[in-house]
Amino acid sequence: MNLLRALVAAGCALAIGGCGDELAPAWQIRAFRLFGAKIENITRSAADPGVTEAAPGERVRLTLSYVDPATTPRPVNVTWVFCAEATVMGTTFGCSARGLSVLTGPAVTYEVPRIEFSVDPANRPRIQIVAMACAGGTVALDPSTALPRCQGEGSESWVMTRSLLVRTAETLPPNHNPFIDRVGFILSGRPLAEAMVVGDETPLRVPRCTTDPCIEHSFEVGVAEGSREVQSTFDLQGNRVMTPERLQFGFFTDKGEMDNTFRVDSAITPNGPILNRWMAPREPGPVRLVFTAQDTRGGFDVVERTVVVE
Amino acid sequence: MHLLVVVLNRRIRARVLAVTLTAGAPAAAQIGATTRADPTPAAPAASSAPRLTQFVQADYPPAALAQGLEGSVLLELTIDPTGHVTQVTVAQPLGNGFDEAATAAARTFVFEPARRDGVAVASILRYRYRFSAAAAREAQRPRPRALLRATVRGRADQPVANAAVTLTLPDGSTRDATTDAAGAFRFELEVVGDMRLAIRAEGFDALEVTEPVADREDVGLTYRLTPARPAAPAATPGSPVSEATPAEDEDEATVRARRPPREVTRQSLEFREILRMPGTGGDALRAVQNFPGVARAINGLLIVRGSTPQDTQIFADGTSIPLVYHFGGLSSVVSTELLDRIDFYPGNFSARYGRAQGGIVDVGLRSPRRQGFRFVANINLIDASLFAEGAITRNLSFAVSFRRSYIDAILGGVLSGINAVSFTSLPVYWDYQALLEYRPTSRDRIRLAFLGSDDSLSLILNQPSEVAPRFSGSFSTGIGFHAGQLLWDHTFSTSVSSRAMFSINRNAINVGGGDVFGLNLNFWNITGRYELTAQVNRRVRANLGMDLTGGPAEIRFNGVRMPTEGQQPNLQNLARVSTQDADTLYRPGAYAELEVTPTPRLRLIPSLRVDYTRDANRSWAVQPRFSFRWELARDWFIKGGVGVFNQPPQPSQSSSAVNSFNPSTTVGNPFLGTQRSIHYGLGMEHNFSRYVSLSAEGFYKDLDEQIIAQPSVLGAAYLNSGIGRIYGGEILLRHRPSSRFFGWLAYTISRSERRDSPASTYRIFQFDQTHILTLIGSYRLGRGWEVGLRFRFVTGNPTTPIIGAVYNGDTGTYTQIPGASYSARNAPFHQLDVRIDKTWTFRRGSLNLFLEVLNVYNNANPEGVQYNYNYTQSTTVTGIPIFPNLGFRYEY
Repeated sequence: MNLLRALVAAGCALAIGGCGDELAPAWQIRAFRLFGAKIENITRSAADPGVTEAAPGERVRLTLSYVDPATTPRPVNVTWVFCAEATVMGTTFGCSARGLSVLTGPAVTYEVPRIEFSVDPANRPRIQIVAMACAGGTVALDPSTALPRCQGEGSESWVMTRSLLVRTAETLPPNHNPFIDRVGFILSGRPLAEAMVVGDETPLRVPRCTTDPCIEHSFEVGVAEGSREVQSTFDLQGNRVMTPERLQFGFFTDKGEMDNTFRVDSAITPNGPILNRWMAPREPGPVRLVFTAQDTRGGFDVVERTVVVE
Repeated sequence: MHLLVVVLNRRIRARVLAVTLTAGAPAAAQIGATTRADPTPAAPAASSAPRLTQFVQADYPPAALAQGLEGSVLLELTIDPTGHVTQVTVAQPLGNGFDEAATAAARTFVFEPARRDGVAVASILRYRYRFSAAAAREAQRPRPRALLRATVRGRADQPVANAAVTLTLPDGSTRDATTDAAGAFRFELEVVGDMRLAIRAEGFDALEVTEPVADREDVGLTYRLTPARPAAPAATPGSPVSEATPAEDEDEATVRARRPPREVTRQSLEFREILRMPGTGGDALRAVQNFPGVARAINGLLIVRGSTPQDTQIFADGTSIPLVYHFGGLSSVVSTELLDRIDFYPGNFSARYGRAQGGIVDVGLRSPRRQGFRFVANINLIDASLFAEGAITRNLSFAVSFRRSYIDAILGGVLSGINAVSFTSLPVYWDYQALLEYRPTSRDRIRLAFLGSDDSLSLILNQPSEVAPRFSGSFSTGIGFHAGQLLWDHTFSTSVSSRAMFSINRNAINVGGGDVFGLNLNFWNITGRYELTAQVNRRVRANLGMDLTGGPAEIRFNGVRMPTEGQQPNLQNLARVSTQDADTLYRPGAYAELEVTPTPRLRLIPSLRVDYTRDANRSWAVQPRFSFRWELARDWFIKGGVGVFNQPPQPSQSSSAVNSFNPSTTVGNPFLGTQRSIHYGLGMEHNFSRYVSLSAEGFYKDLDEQIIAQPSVLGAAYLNSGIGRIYGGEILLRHRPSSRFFGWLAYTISRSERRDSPASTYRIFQFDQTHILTLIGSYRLGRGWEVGLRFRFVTGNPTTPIIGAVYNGDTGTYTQIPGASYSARNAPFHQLDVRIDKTWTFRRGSLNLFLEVLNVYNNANPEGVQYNYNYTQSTTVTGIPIFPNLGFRYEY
């Protein structure tokens, strides 16, 4: 059978173009990481909390989500640039010069300018957002590239792009952020109903790996009812249809091994449980976990938890 | 016709009839045996005697044959109502083993039973089995393995009678013949190989040539003799000239009767080369990839002289094939057994071909055999195929072929334990071809052909990708076509002939990728083609033709704008496109081509082709072309050409369908024009011998009006904004198949560049490969063994380095920041493939077993670079490791 597998692997290589070595998985937190930016319309928050879109003149709050695993805490400087989205791809970060605005800080408040917007491929106007997060350094403009750059010895940085849908004359209801309301831990072999809540105050204690191979436990992420909204989109035949959102969930950790980084709502069971297997590390100690949920229209939520392996 | 006697079987009381009728001997009377029966009075008209429908040849007793004994055995056969012989009695013995032999053979006879009032009844038949020693010896004589026949002509193309022809066989023995009044002679050959012919006729110089004759080959030739002159040198094998072109200059001795190409460069493969070429698995179209000018591609793409794969058209006798290879190169969609020839034109091709600015591959389907029956089975690790051909009547013959893969069966077991992927439909491909050929007269050949192919695959990615998590769920591909083709070759006279072709293709392409990408494309491709060829006079030959392609198309698409060459598909960033549309394509064309031979050493071919493309802004493309071939000295040629080649946009690029994502835009650009390329070529050829030749050619291609996908999501989707330049040289040192060896050394050096817009600078073409070296050789060791190798050294493909990435907060993934387009390259590719064949030849067939090992020394050839999720790590993706393929081919 090994020979057969080798032959088929060779055949697959012939068909799909070969094979490469193992690369670091995305779920693994080893360095300074960004996970996203949550957008909340604060003009409407009293009447309609969690709206991710804004009309000209409305204000939104943006909160950057990141993890810096550095052993020594260090400041994270963030610079935000807002602009009207360009309609020509290939321009720097999709930004045009109109409506340019710069803000600083991990969380900022931005007011959508009252300008005329062009529309994006889905016929929606957008504000393009570019954020540079610099851990252990300061943000400066690189004179050679005219792009922001993180300066400082040992500093780490990432640039993030994000977009804000601008409501002009749409009649469709606005999009809202999904809301992660539950993180559960399920010991290997136990039913879903016996999931232990991974709270944000008292760390859950979980068993370390003592077998070879390690036993796989699971994390479960749940979202509040209404997180999966109905949206207008196109089916594969090009017909405009109203369908429930399929949320994308991210699982990240600095210790142990996740089965996979992402889970996406199944088209068959869109409200099914979102589970991801995890192998605990062999060494005891705290484990940092980040869970994200996002839709395709700017909705985003993130929670960070810690479990203690013992 | 022989008289048969049926007498009453008194032991069978019921349903027994005594009749006497005349009946025919077996349709193909067997050598060495005849049937005869004694006459009796006629039977009532409502009844019939048994009639022999299946005759079986009796084994002639060896001792009797050695002594020359012969005679007849009278048998009494009892035939049941089903027509089978239930009892054989020797009524008149002959002895010496004849009685036993006749009895054994007669037991297996099959009759149409006797009938009484229309009801089958049992009967007894007296049957005389005659043994003829002379006929038996004739039957045991070895059958000719090949036929060499030719016509000898002299002044004004008149036949030369009474010419003395001496044939020297490979073993040194000789045979003689004399041409008849029509100048014809023929040799039936029991051995094959190199045949040396010497032709002597009064008033002409002697001619000596060597002709390679392959197994089961019917070689038909025309030789033209040079009138004798006191100082005239002896004629030697020279360049090929047209069979229909008379020898017009008596200063020249033209020898071999085969038309030269109408193109500057044509590479043709012979059947043995196709079957035995290492690294191709005996697949004809994959063999094309070893010619000079063809870049190496791992996915079966044909990249000819720096042109994109879409720029090269593949035809099967004039019908465009939408799919060349199954699953990106595993095997081609047309059975090798059905191929008559593969002609490959890397550039400067005839005006007969249009709508392509790169190259042409023209696959000729051969005529089914008009005598006997042939069956071939091919089985290897990937697929199996069956082929059969034969004669139905004297004028009607057929050929059928079917192939199916079984990688689904293999993958099903292997992939069952992999969590990441679930196959809902394992990869399967199949194809079929069926030909029916009718020759109502000697001037007509009518052929009906059906071709079809299907590739399908459906799977579910259980784990979302780290690079594009939304691109998950179910994936499926289905690509297939069914084509019907009617071909009619008609000869009006010795100087005028025509070919008419009409075909209808039904093509379907269905691709689904999660909830991100979907394509359903169904279209009919109706092609008509007519070419008239006329020998206007001794120096001018004209080819006039017209063709039409088009048909209704229906498309449903949801995805991103399809990128053009050099652009990376990016599901996250490109313009979203969604549409449903139906359209009808209409693309007629016409051409005229002259073949002018002002002297027998010089051929000039001016031509003009005009194409109209309704879906490309109703554009007209006028394409003048010119090529020449000049024999500077015996076996030394100079060749060259220049021409304009237009190619219309793909239907999706010129589509006027509204983009549902943005109703103010269209999916394509209906105002696109056709792309244009001007080919320049100049080269030489030299024939060192009948087998060994050398050709070298330099080429330059000037591209403009190239179609480029635009970055704007609101403006035109595509523009004719690109230009390009391609230049290089090719050398081919070739040894055509002899009785022992074939092979070639091909080397190409080239550079292909593109400029996507006037504001940009030139960049390297996506598949640019500076050096391509291919060495192929195959040698017959004897006793059915043949060993071959293929070695390739190719410059690594260009790559675009990734210099960084930004985090896309909208998708949760990272977007790469590319460096300068194709500013880096993979390391060079080099690989050795070996093939070993062993053939066993039986009385009625042969069995070929082959072992092919790809990448013998297991070189880790880089095929690309794979990055981690945030593009901070990378690893080299390597190609196929050492890979054995085992298979066999049985021919009956």
